[in-house]
Amino acid sequence: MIGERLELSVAKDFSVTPGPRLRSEGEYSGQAFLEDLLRPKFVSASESGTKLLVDLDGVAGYPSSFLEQAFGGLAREFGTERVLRHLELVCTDEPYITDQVTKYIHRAVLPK
Amino acid sequence: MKRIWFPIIILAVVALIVSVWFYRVFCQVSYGLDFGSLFDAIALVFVAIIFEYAYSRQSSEKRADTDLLLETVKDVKTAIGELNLNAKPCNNSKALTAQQMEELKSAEREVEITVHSVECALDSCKASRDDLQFGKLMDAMYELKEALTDSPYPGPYDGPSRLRIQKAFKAFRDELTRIAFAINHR
Repeated sequence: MIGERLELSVAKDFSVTPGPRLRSEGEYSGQAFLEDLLRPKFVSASESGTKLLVDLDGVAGYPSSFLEQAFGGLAREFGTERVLRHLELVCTDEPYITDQVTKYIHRAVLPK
Repeated sequence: MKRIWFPIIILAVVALIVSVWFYRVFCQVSYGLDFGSLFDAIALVFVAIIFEYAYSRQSSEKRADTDLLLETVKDVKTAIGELNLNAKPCNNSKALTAQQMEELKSAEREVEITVHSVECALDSCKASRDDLQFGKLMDAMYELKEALTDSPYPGPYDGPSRLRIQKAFKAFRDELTRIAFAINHR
């Protein structure tokens, strides 16, 4: 299963400067990340029974709105349990980012 | 303190002299010094010295740990001061520029890194995070991050958002102060 894992790097595949929550608010938004990259790759991983590894390293900081829109949005669409089953996070740059993302996945609610 | 001790010492010496004179004059007490008593006295003094050494050593190690922990807390204070400066543009009625956004995120990351250093230091000296309620500082840190970079980031920040930021800064500072006192008093 580890060999078949899909991978997604925010820094390499999206941007080193993640932006705001929505596309209308600026570039490299959480909404753009979710719709253009995260969701398609998550669906592939989920349907093939593997995990999607999201590498959060190499980025100059994550706004909370970006994380909540991307990962909270994923959980709102697919459910917390399914997301946690098929998603793996790695980040060595920021010590608490994976805890924060996991928190957003758990408390996914309707958008504000 | 020296002024209190000096009369006490004088009184103690006078009391000792009076006691000895009293017993010599009024009591039929004979006293001699044998080897067993002398050995007992020396052993007692030796044990007292050992206990004093062990207590002093433990006390000074704990003091050193406390000082090191408080140094890490000081680093967090420095980082939060820097974040406060970088958060000033949130009070303008304009959206943050790209540079202001990056500076804010960078400063916020530095706060997280210094808080993590406190956590690592607590683990290193085997201090209990639960006893110090370290989780409350984490909660305050998350709330501060959300106040700054959740919607309506990157701005403009309305009145309630700016108030949320102010409250979050205060809550974090209060928790940091509480942790510092808790470390000092453990």
